Amino acid sequence: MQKPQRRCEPAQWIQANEHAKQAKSHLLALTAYSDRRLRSDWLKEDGDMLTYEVDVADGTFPSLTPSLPEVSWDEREIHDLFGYIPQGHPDMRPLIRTPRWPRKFFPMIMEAPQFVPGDECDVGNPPRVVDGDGVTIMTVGPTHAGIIESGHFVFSIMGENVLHLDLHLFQNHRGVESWLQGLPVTSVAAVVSRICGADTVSHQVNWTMAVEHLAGQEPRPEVVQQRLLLLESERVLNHLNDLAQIPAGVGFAVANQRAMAMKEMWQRAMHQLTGHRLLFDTVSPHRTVRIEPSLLLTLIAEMRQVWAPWRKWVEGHHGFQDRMAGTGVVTQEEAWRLGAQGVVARASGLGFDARLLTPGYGDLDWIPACESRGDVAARFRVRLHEVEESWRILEQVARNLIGAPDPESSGVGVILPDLSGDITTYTESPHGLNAHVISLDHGRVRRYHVRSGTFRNWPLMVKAVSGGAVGDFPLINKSFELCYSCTDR
Amino acid sequence: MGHHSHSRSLQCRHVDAGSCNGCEQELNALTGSFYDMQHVGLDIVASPRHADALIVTGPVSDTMMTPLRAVWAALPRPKRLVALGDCAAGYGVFQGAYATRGGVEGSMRPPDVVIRGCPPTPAEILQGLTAVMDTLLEPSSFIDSQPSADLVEARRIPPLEQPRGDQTPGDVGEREI
Repeated sequence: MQKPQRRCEPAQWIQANEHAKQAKSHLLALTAYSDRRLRSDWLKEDGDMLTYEVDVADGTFPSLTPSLPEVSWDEREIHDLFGYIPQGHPDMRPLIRTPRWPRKFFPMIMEAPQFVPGDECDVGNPPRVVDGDGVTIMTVGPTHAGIIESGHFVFSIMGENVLHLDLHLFQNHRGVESWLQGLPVTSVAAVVSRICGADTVSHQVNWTMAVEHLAGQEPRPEVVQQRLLLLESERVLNHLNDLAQIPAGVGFAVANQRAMAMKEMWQRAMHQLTGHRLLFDTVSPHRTVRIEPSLLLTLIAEMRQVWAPWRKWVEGHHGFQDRMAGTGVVTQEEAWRLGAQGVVARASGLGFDARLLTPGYGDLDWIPACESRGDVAARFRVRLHEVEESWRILEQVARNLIGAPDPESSGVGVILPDLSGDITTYTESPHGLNAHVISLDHGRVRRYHVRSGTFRNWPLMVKAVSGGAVGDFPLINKSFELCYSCTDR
Repeated sequence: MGHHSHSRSLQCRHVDAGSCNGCEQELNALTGSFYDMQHVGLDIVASPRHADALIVTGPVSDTMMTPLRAVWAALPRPKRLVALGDCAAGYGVFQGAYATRGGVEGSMRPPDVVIRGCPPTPAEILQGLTAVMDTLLEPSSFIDSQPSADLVEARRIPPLEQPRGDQTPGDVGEREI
């Protein structure tokens, strides 16, 4: 599935990538390397991949952002971590760097980077706010009043209306990509499993597929099917959580509590079926945890009994539906322009679901979600639909697997100690397409870039909030339900 | 010197300092009907001024270290520090990454209670937080003249260093506290 790279002269770099976008390809990732080059990975509509490379001559490269605004954050991140300058980028404020970072500290071009904040630190990183009479600045975070990941939001408000929201994320930046560099392949799975507590299976499968592909070993069909069970179980787990959070955003406590109870039922069953309530460490090149198909079928039958009345109830609740309709709209045009992922894209009329291109899904009977209005209600309905479709997928796969051999011991087997090569893998996680761009060199990680679906969706959340009432922010935010960990890394 | 005036309650403030959100999900589960933490006197409160304990998750990212210290400083005494999960406890898979600061102990001071697990289950978190409640329930902790050894230790904690001058107010999160 990996096509040879096409090297570009800097003069062709923008045109080549623009052309890929015009051809309706999806940008998987923009990845920088410490040996002064950049690479873009595109997924074409037919499932083939397209890769372009450009040299970072004299430390600069032509910015794609003016013509492809979806990579604005990617290029700012590259500037912060590598020091490469995207020439022509309209917003060069630090994205990840904080004023504590020393001026010459560019961790991704250093071996074993460490820093001590001192005199040679960068200057400030002030938020962008609206200035003028009657404008109120409201800051939220980085610490929050509940159980939430850390992020800093600066609102410019006029009356009730949000004029601008400035995101200061990356408070949870740990340096995960740098930390993965140099690790032996046998140590990678445990770290990758914890890049994101919500989409962990998706990340684990990406790493596993990468190793299998580079080793030239195809997984057995029943192993692929067991992975599908884990991927879809993760989708159900997260969608139940997100469906619970949306009513919480309007103070609809009973709908929230009942959906949280369904999530807890699912988690307890996952603990019984896989050994982990959040599915950590269930897929690696060595092993795919086997879910007992008959127990899974029983579980889904039980879940449907509590799900059906809940769904009917929230869908028929006039006040709740009223609050969601027309709130936090992302237009189809904006979603395409900024590269929306997952539920957010499918709620705004973009029918793309990476599962359509993932091995194992093609033979199954399921209907990808697609709503057109792009509001909170559409994102809620996409998740409702996807939970039921995931159960249908799980049931079909589980029935196929009854009596199949136990794949516990049927991973790749021995990973070649000198595994080398470049590979890009992707899966459709509950929060959008997660892509991993991986380079291995003699059994060690040379580069590991993680581009999560949420990373793309954050700027779209800002678009959905701006112009609306500040009181709608919790509702809109929860309808995106973006995680910070796999964005901040 | 403050007194803990409620016999069977513990109000907690939570700060995520670089967690993968696994610990958050399991802590959040405690607020649901299956565990119903409020029923046993536990609650997550919106302000550190109302909190008896600070629950920290994550390996403590460099960026969150200063806000984390500011939140801890804002808790009235007596107060307890809880490391929730392997990362905060100093054992997680990200320990050593360039923007991590060694969990709760490495970035602040030894925690009073550690709840291990990746992530710990809601039942384990409930057990751990109940243990925190018990440390505050020692009869002597209500009598200033005879403080418990634990409390004496807590009072010996040297004052935390002030936030560095190179931080902008936005990074410190002062408005929250």
